[in-house]
Amino acid sequence: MAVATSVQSVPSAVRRAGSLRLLLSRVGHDPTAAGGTAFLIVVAALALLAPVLSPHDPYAIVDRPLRPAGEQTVLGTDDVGRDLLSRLLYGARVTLAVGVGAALLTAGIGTVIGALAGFYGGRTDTALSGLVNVMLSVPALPLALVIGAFVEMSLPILILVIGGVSWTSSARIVRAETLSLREREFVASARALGAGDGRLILRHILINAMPPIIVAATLQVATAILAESALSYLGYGIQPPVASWGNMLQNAQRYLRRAPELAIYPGLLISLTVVSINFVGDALRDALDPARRGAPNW
Amino acid sequence: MMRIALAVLLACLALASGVTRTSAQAPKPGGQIVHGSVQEPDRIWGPVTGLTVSSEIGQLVNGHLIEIDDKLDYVPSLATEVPTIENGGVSKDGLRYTFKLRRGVKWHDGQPFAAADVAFTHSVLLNPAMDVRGRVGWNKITKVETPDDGTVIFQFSGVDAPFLDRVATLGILPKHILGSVPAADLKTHKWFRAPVGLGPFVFKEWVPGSHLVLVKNPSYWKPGRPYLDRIVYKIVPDANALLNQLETGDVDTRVRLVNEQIETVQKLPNVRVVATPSVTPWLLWMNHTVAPFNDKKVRQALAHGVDKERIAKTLLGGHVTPAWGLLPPMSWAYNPSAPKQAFDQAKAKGLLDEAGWKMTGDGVRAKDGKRLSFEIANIAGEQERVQVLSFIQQQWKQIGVDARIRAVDVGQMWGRMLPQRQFEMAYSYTGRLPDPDMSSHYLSPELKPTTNFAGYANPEVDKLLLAASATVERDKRKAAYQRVQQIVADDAVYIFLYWLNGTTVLNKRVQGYKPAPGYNEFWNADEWWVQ
Amino acid sequence: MRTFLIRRILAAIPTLLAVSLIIFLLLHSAPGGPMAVYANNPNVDPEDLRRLEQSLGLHDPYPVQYAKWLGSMLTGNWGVSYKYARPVGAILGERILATLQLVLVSLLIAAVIAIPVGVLGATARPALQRVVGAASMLGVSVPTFWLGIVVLLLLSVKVRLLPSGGMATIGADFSLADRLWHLLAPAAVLATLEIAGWSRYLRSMLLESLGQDYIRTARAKGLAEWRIVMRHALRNALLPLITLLGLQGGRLVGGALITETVFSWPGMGRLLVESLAARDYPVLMAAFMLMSVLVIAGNLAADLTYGVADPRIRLE
Repeated sequence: MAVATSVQSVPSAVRRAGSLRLLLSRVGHDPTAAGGTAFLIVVAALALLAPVLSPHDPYAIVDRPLRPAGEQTVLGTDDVGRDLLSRLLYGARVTLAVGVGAALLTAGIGTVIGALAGFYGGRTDTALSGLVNVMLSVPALPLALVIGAFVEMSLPILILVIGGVSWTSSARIVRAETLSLREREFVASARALGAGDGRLILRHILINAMPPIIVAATLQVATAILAESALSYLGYGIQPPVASWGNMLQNAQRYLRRAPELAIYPGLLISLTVVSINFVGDALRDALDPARRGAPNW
Repeated sequence: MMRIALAVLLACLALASGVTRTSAQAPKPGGQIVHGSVQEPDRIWGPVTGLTVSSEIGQLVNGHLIEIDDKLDYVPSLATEVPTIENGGVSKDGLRYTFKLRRGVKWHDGQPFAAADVAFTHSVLLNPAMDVRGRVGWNKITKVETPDDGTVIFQFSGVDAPFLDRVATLGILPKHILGSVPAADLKTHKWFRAPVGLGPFVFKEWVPGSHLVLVKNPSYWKPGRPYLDRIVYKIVPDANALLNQLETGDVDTRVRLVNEQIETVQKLPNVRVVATPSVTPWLLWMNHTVAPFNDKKVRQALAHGVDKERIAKTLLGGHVTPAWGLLPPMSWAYNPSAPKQAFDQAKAKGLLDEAGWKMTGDGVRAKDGKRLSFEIANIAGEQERVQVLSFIQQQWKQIGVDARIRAVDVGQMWGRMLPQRQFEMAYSYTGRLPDPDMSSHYLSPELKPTTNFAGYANPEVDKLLLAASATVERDKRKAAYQRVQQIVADDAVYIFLYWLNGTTVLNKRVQGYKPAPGYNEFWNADEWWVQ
Repeated sequence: MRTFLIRRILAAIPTLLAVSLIIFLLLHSAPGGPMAVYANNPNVDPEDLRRLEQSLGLHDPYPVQYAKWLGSMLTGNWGVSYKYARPVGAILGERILATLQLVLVSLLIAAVIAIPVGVLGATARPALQRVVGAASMLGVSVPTFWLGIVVLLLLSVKVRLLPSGGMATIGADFSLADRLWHLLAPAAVLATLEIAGWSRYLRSMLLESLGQDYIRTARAKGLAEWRIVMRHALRNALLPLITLLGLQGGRLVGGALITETVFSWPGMGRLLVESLAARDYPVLMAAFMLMSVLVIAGNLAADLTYGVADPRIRLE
């Protein structure tokens, strides 16, 4: 499960947390980020309104299998005979739920571990870093596969699994941030005023570490969506008859000759969604880190 | 006028005979076939493998005492005749089988075949160091006698009615190669991946992940056979790629074609498609020890609520045949007048009402506060499964039954849910031998049936089944099984859905193939030839 | 440096043990096991199943099973596959060669394409940069297996340009051209992620180093721009790329797994998927451990080159 772009963690530069308007104007001026945001809003709306918008029940058989677009269906039927459009709409809910859920989980776990490791240092740090090392030593996809083979995959469990194998990059970011912020003056003065550890971590350090955490979490949604689709493709993710964009691709390879659109629609949606998230995340990162403002955004 | 008519008639006859003569060609020796398979074999000996492809190769290189033909009859192979009660090969009480072996048969390495090889094979089967999958039936043999090189006698402690089926699938092992191997090394011996056998084809090479090559056995016991010089068994794990290769002619034959490709293949100009009936039924298992399946009326109602004809014709494209019981119509014990719960929604609703399950406001029936709702366990994977189950789910919704589909994996299903009866309903196929013995599915649990996961217990059925297993006389067995079929069909023990026909694709130049119901597709490969 | 290396290798050992324990517990926590599927076989009764599981040692208590497995792994006896009854080492050996071929060729393709793209991204006109940027973003966003399926659809099903799977044309003699032809599609698909990631990274590294003083000096001296880029900036940007590669070991393993499945490539990734389905524990454990070793080695290499590239950076 990879961080979408480069190996550098988000550089800890001057925090301009709070200048939301600046942020929005930056994103707004960047065509790719603007486009990405628009697409994501549309997808999220479609997913939320799926019960209203779907022409059919996604589990119901409406016609012969593998029929092309016709009177019954807008996009045709899948290999069981269910309406493709309805399944894509409901699949959006599942895929987005997994993406956002896993990203939140990753951010949560990573933040807790990273903050503890960075703040307390010493043995806590060594122990937690050791844990991070173990996680980093295991290839993520095979691990998720093995878990998926032996545990019954439902939506919450899938979120747990994906979130559980991808938190290391968040942890590293938060740890680095905590380490650098720990020594800052405002922390020292707060401590002098009698603030306890918990308060220090939560109120002072993490608040300032928020921007890179948010950026990482945003990009993590993309990673989680890709992970869900890979796992479901291999058969170890969301199980049919529940629809997800990933598992709609599961059998699509068999029907490549007869009905290639079975493979094209879900894959296209996944790609566009992930690309949009990446554009938005990149724009966010640039907006929050002035050191990178020099070059035009890729 | 008459003379013209006569001339025309003669001309037509000449033409007709000319036409028929070209279509009824004589088999030509020589040539090779490339067979494509998505799976790779593991060990080439039936008892230690679960893979059909391994048994297929085994059919080509290993020898058997008898074989099963396309009519499900036994034919002699390495034995000179099939033992029966009439010819004295089987004792009246069914406890003694005598096989007379063919003389002059040689192993692929030139050594002579003898009765000692058969006895040795049996000892390997029962050898605790061998990981033989199933010993059912073989463990009833108390003694194997070899009074001379050409005779083998099996002595049983109890009747094993399907014994001849088992013999037909047991490849003979060479004592002169494996006899001196220490027990611990036996199961990993390279013979199982490079067999020296008695079959029509000789193993030549195996490139793992790629292909196997088998060549003609020049000293096969059947004169003039096999016709083919070579069979290349190609491993192409991707079904789409295999289809491409059939199209280009890189692959000549393929068995067990996946259903979604049948339409595409039928349009290809260079191949023909042959449907093979099967003895393996697909069914819904119901757990009789839990509600609502402990009520016969509910089971019958559910059976009446499924439109099998529509599933077979429309959903699965006509590639399957509806099934109504454990025995296929081609079985000698089949009872055509056993009750069938035909699709009848009114009847189904009536039965449910009678059983006390009344319709409620949300469309699902309820009784004593409990909803008529249950889970159907299904092994995740194949598309037919999901298709069929979704369809049945919809149909049952119309009579007020709420069925939920739950995907589980193989280990869950067969390791826990079914054997420990921790399920409500499950959907799967069930493995069957050609022999009609129904004990495995219908004997009461305390009599230790192998696959009665439903938990069905009926003393009358037990009596009939035990009596049928205790004799080898077909008439007696047939009468018993016919009565059993009546009872269990009425009891709706299982809901049988369909027989999954196999589909074989052959390049048009391949001749001689005959479909075999549920048995090995290569059963008569020694009769195949190419134009 | 040497102490660092030794320390890291020693640290890897408990890590590997922990990994093996996790996988072992996972495998054995689930019902079923490798013999479960035979419950449906009319020739197999519960007695037989018990006997088979016993012979595989599956009824021993877990600590005993684990200890046995550990002992045999360390003494070089990697066990025998349940499914194939062949030594696991032999099976792994065949498969890992196939995966190595795939991965190495894909890395080659990635390097050949990523470097010019990265350079373009740093030096070309802004409009062109945007286009290349969007393309590389697409590269990291498209699911690998979907890309593979689309490639198969376009280049193998619609047009018979490329083979639709396998390592070589069967029956034909070994030919390098034939092998490469089969390698092309899967290696290219596997390379996409790397290309996109590397080119982005290279670009940002280049931009950074192109802003440095010594570059300005070179420009002032009148050296041609492209020569400046090539000889100075690029050299500095390349080494961290190797770091990046090392850290992506885990993802490369996962990506290879998916690509192998799509293209029916007989490598380690597919072996894992197959042995998972068959519950072939010995193969599964060994394959997983091997993958972990590769990932750890990649991480180690990354840390080493990271330190070499920038001695200012304190190694953790």
